[in-house]
Amino acid sequence: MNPIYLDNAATTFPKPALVKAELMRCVHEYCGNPGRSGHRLSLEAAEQIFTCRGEICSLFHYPSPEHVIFCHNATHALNLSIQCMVVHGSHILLSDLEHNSVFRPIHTLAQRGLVSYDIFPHRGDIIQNLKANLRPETDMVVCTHTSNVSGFTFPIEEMGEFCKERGLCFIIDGAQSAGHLDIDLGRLSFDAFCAPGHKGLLGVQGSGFVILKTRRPLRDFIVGGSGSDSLSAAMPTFLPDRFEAGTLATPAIVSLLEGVRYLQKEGLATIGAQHRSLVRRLSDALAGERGIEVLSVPDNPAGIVSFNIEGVHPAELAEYLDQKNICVRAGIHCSPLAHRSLGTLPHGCVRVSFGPFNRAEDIDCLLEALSARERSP
Amino acid sequence: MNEMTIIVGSMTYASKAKKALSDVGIRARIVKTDTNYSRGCIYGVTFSNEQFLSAVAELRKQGIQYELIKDR
Repeated sequence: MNPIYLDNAATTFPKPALVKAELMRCVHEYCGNPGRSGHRLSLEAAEQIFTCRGEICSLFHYPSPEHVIFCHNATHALNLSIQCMVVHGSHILLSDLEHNSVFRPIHTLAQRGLVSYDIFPHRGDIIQNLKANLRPETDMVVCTHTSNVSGFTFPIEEMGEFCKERGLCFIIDGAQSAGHLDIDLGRLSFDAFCAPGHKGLLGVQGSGFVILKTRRPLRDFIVGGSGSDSLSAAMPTFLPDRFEAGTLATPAIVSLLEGVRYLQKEGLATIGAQHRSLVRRLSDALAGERGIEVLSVPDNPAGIVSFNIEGVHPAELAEYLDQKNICVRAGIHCSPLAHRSLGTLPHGCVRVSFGPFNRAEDIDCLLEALSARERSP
Repeated sequence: MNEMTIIVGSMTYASKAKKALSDVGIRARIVKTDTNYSRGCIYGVTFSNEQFLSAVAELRKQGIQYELIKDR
């Protein structure tokens, strides 16, 4: 019996059939080293990767495929973005809903004495919250687009304009919004937009990317072979080569290509509406139960429903559901800042997260399992 | 062979150039070359000599910078 998979915010599962098919075709037929050699297998791999840059640009309404820099995951993309643009001695603002993929890189820089930072709240007027935490030396704002715990979505358009007016670097963590929301990066003011390939964009694990729009001076990140300017001891100065040292994960990237094509065929509006409907159905059902606190935002497009049952440890509940063949995620979700903000430390909560292949029947099974647990002695 | 190769610097720009040419009906292929070039291994796009002027015009129009033109 197939499990009921409700952990899509961690990684989507299952993947569309064409994602799996192209991954296998790549491994079997053309997985040469892209951008290194001149033979057919290398060139085909490289051209598929370029096609993926183009499809990502199409999905995000962005004009320049060479600005798409492939990484291993969103954490890699965020580290790259922060490290290559941070000004030593400056001050950074991050939100109180950040994942550790943002919090830890910035905290580590602060521990080394290279930057200082403050955390701004997501409740109330976000722009006022940013203003209240600005310092003369503030140079960067790093913010999740959509929280992986609550599904709260930040107003990145207004935040982008705010940063642009003040000359602040604006880095967006799109880990939970990419593939869920129609994001127009062509119109948005930002410096870097980071996303994983294996979540809402439906690729397999091993790919992520930054869309690096910035015109700021950049510091090198990982350096090494790029397949270009090879006689130079320094990295190439042009994108994406400057930040793509080492062999790219071609199978993961071609799976991402097919995942993006799937989203474009199905339509982000359709998938977003489906997620909202599932979130509403489960949230309403849980909210009517005594002793259950729903922590997530109603109608969020990320497909996230987080909750706690009074007197029940989230990890125990997740283990019970696993025994019932239902996969959810419990705990801190790598987001201690978010759980502090939501008042759910130290144990966190249970998070249900939907993907494009979930149906209302999955919710019925989850609710039945929760009821059965309640009835059991 | 009656072919020309335009060196564009990297695989990504070669792919971009190939797509730009393909979009206006110019058949091109990506090649790797390192002969007589001072920066090491590098990629270019090769197409028919007869389409040279229109190819160069399209690359300029698309803002794709090329570094060297070679006869093949």
